[in-house]
Amino acid sequence: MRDLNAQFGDGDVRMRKLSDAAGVLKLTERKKANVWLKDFEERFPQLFFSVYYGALDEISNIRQFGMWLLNHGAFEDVDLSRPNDGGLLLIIDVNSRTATISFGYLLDEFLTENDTFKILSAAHPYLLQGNHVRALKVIINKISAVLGRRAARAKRRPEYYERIAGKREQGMRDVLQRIRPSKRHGKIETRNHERKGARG
Amino acid sequence: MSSLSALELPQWSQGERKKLENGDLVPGASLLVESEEARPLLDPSDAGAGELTQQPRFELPSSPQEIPAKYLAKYFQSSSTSYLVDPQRLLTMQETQDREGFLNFHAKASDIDIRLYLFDTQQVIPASHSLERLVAERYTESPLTCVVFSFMGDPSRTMLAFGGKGAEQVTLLEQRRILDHARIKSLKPSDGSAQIEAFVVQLSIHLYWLEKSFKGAELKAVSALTSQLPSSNSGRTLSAVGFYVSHKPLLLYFLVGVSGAFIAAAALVWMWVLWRKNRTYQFPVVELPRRLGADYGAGVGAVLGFKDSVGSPSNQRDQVPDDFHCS
Repeated sequence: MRDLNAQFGDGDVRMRKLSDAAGVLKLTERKKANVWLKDFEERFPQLFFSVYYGALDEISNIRQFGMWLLNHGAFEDVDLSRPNDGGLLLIIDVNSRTATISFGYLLDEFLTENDTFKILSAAHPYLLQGNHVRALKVIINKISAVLGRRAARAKRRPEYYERIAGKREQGMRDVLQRIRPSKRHGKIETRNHERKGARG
Repeated sequence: MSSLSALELPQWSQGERKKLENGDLVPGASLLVESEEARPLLDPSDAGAGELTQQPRFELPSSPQEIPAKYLAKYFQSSSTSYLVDPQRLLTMQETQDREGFLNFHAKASDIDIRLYLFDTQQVIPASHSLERLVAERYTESPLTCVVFSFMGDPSRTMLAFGGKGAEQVTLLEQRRILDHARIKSLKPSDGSAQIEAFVVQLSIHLYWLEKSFKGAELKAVSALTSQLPSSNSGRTLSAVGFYVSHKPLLLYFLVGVSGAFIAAAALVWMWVLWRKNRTYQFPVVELPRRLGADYGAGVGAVLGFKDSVGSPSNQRDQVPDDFHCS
């Protein structure tokens, strides 16, 4: 994140859920899009969906930009009860003609890269035609369906997701321990040394 | 003395006495014999004749067998909307209501209507008109109708004929049989109105059985045709017709049932759609360690390119600068 901050900036970015910097949507299409975003929030009280249409530099990595924007975006029209942890950010770069979805920690267990690829693939034909409003509707509908199913499954089996979260945390701990083997080895040697010393 | 002479009786004159003796003069003959010479009792030109010489208010038929001309038009030259044709008002008002009520009830219940024409006991149908001619002129295009000519108080003279669509199905033998049975029943009562009632009731019963025999014959004809042509389209059509004919009464209930089930299913589906639309989803909040220094999210999804319309989305999954594309 430090590198991204160096690249894109450190401060918060004031923006709205629907940001059309590239100007690809008409006024009527923007109204429709706002209604869809509002419906999404009603269906998922913890989440919000944001979309950014921009003309990014070709060199930029859209994934990195999405992650930076999600963490630095100050969404004016999103309620404070919905932190960015529950945010979904769709970024469409009209210059390089690429799209990506970034999501917050709340959805880490419920959304995978494969899911997002399938969702974006469904909107691929409309993106090719330049029908961005239709593409947005398809993406919102698909993502709502996926998240609905995952939420229902999580309600039925909450312990499963808690277990996975525990495993992930454990996994992260293992990774950290593997990263620092010398320190760990040192502790064991010290203990062994202490034991040897105790035995005399 | 002059008053005394006025009181003297009339005397025969010499000539009159002679005629009387010869037999040429019959006293009172002018009163007893119709003669042009006989002086009418009252002179019609006499202004003082009074009401006895005025034209009578109603025309009396010259004969009880003759149907008055004004009624002939109502019988034979006009189409009646009522099932009972009685322009001469031979029945009382109550009897008319009773007969019409029964004929209307029969018309609703049966496919074969009854039209009852009522004549007086001794009246004779003029030669220029007849039952068959009336049926041919008035009832050819109508539904199947049984036209009855009934003579008040003389059921033995009752006649009937069938007219309308399907009249040719009723054989003469059938007609004769129906007429005879109905006549026999109508001979029992002594009152003219009761005789008509008995005739019409018996006729209605016979027409009911006649209808049933028609329907049975129709079913047999349809099944015979379907058995002859089992594999052709016309066979399927005829079997469909046979199915329709045999199950016609149940069809309405079936349609109502199906419509009700469809409406109920549509309502259930609509309620389910509404419930799905208004349903909210909650996610369990799982505490995860922060990654890569990100405060809110480090979940990055797939990247999809939409530059190339020929390539599939899978081929455009990674964001690759243009310089790396093979030319």
